[in-house]
Amino acid sequence: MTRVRTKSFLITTFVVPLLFIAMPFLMVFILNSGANSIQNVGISDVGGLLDSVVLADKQDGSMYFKKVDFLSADSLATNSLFDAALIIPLDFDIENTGRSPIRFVSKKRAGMAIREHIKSVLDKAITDLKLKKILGSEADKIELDTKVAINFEKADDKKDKSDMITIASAIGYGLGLLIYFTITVYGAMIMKGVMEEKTNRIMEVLISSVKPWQLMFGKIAGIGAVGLTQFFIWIIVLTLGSLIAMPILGITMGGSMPATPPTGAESIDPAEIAAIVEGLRAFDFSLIGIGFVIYFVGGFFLYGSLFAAVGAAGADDTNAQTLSIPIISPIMISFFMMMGALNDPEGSLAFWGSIIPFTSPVMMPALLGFSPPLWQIGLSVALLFGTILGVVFLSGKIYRTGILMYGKKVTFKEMVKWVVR
Amino acid sequence: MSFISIQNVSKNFGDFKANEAISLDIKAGEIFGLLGPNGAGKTTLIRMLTRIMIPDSGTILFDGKPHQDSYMERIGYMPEERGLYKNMQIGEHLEYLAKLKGLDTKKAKISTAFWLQKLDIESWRTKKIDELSKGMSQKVQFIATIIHDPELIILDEPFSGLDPVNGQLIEAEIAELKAKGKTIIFSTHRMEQVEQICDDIALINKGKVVLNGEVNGLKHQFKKGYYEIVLDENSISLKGTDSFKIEKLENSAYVVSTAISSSQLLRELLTQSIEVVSFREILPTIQEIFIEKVKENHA
Repeated sequence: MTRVRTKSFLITTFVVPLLFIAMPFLMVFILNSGANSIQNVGISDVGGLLDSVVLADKQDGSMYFKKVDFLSADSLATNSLFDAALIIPLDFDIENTGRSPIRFVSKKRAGMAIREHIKSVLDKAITDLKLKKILGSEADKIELDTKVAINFEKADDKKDKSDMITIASAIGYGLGLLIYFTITVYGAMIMKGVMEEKTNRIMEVLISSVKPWQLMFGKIAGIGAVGLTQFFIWIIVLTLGSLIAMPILGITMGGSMPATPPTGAESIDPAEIAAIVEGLRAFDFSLIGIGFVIYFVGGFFLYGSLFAAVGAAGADDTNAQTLSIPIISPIMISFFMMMGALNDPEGSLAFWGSIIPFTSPVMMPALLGFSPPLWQIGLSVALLFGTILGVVFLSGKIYRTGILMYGKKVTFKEMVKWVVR
Repeated sequence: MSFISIQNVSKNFGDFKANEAISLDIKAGEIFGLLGPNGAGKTTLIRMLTRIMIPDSGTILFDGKPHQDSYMERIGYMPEERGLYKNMQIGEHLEYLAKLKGLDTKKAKISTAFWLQKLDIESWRTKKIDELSKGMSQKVQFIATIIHDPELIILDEPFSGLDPVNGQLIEAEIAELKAKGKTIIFSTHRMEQVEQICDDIALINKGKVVLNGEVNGLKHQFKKGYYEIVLDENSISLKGTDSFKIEKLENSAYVVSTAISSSQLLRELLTQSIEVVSFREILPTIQEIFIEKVKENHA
C-alpha cells in the first residue's frame, strides 16, 4: 500500500499511458509546425515547361503552388504574396536536369522536409513530362505507382491469411515487450525493497514474526500486485484514451472509412487501419490472454525470487548490482531473441526460446499470436513452473542466509555455498 | 518449572562456535539478564529463542514444550539494531506489525491506540517514521515489541539512545509488564540496570555460559570479605587485629577486609570501645564480577 500511495506510482500509472496516446499527435504537431514557414510558393515558368502538369499542393495544407507570370529571386524579398519562388529556367532540359537546374529561392531557409517535398513533387512532374514526350496522350493512362497483390498462405493452415503475420508480429512484440519491461522494472523493485529492509534493519523484527520464505513470497506477490494494478490501469487508460483519440483520427470502431481525409495525420491510411481491425477478429484472444497471464505470473515469480535472493545477499547497492548481472542477462537476451523470432516464428530460435524456462516468459507470449502447437505450449509451461519451484527453493536458501548478513560483500562462490549447505 | 529451558544448545557458523553447550533456565514472570562482551554469542542465543535460527544441537523448551514456529506469536522481540519502515505512518506501522504477530485488524487497531496513548505519542500517529527523533522511534519500536501482549519479551539494549526521561518511562513499563506476570529477557551492557532490574542473570563469554544465578546470590558468591564501618566522629579510632585488616580510612569511614563472618567481625568490633554509626558488607557490583570473569576467561 505504501508503494501504491506514492506520487511516483500515480504519475507512472496515469500520466505515462496518457503521454503514450498523446505522443503521435505531438509528433505530428511538431513535424508540421516546422514546415509552416514556407507556405506559398510562386512558380515562375517563363518557358511554359510545366503548362501540362500540375504541382500538387501539400495534402495537409502547409504548402500551396501558384503559377505566376514572372517572379525573380530579387523581387521575392518585396513580394508579400509568396514565401518562395520556384524558378524554371528557359533552357531547362528534362533529359539533363543538372545542366541548367531549377531554382527554389525562399525568404527563410528551407528545411529537410520542405526540400524533400519539393524534390518529390518535381521528380513526379519531370517523370510525367518524359512519359508524355515518349507516349503523347497515352501517357495519362499509365498508373506508375503499382501495388502488387500477393496472398501469403501456410500449407497446412487454411485460416492463415496474409495480413495476420503483421498483426501477430505487432501483438507478439507488444506482449513480449510488456513482460520484459515488467520483469526488469518490478524485479529491480523487489531487489531494492529487500535491500531497504536490510538497510533499515527491520528485517530482524519481521523474521521474528514470519518465516523467511513467507517474507520473500509476500514481497514478490505484493510488488507483483502493484505491477498488475498498474498494468490494468494502463489498459483501461489506453483503451479509453484510444476510443477518444480514434474519432479525431476519423476512424470508427466498425472499420468504416470517413467521407473526407483526416487532417493532421496524413501518414495514416484509414483503409489499412480498417483492415487491421478486421484482421484482429481472426485471432484467438482467449489463448493469447490466458497464455499471457500464465507467462506474466510465471516469469515474474521466476525472476522475482532471483532478484529477492540477490537483494538479500547484497551488502550494498554496488554489490547487489554485480550479483544481479547473471539475472538481467537472460532477460535481455530473451528480448533480442524475441526480435529475431518474430521474423521467423516457426524457426528453431523461436522454438528453443519458447521452451527454455529463462527465455520463455518473454518469447512464448510473443509467439502466441502465431498459434504455436498446444504440445509446445504445454511443454514450455511445465518446464517453466518446474523451474520456478527449484529456483524459489534455492533463492529461499540464499534469502534466509543473506538477510541477516551485514557489511560483508558477498561473492557468487559464497552464495553457492549457502545453497549447497 | 522453568518457562524457558535451554538445554545444551549449540550453534556453529562453519568452524566458528557461536554458542557451545548452553544450558539456562528462565522462570516465568522474572526479568532475566543476559550479559556478555561483544561477540560473546548473546544475539545468536536470542535468535534461537525467537526462531530466527535453529540450534544445531540441544533443545529449547517453551512453557514445557519443544520450541516451535507457532510460538512466535507469544514472543515479542526488540533487536539491538532498531528498524522500522521509514515511509510508513506510525499508526499504520504498528497495526501492520501487530497483525504479523497474529492479531486481527480490530484488535490491532485497539492495541495500537492503547499504547500510543499510554506512551504519550498519540498525536504522532499519522507522522512517518523518518520524521521521528531517535528516542521517539525507540518508543515506537518498544510498542511494536509488546503490542500483541506476548508472554515472553526479549529486549536487546532497550535503553540505548534514550534520554533519562524516556529511559525511566520504559523502565516503568518493564516493571509493569513484570507485575503482570510477563517473562522478560533483558540483554544489556549497562550493569547498573542489571542490578536494579534483573532477578537472575547469565554471563556469556566466547559462546559459553560462565556465570549464572540470582543477582544477590552471585554478589554474595563473589564477595571478597570487605566491610564498611562508619564510626561516630568523636569515637576513638578503630584498630586492626589478627582477624581483620584496615584497608582504607576516609573521614570516619573504614574499609576493612576479613575472612571471618560478619557476626564474628561485629563481635570483634564490640570488644573495642568504638561508637559504630553504620556497618555494612561491601558486595561486588555485577560490573566487577563481569570484568573478573571475562578476564579469567581470557587468561
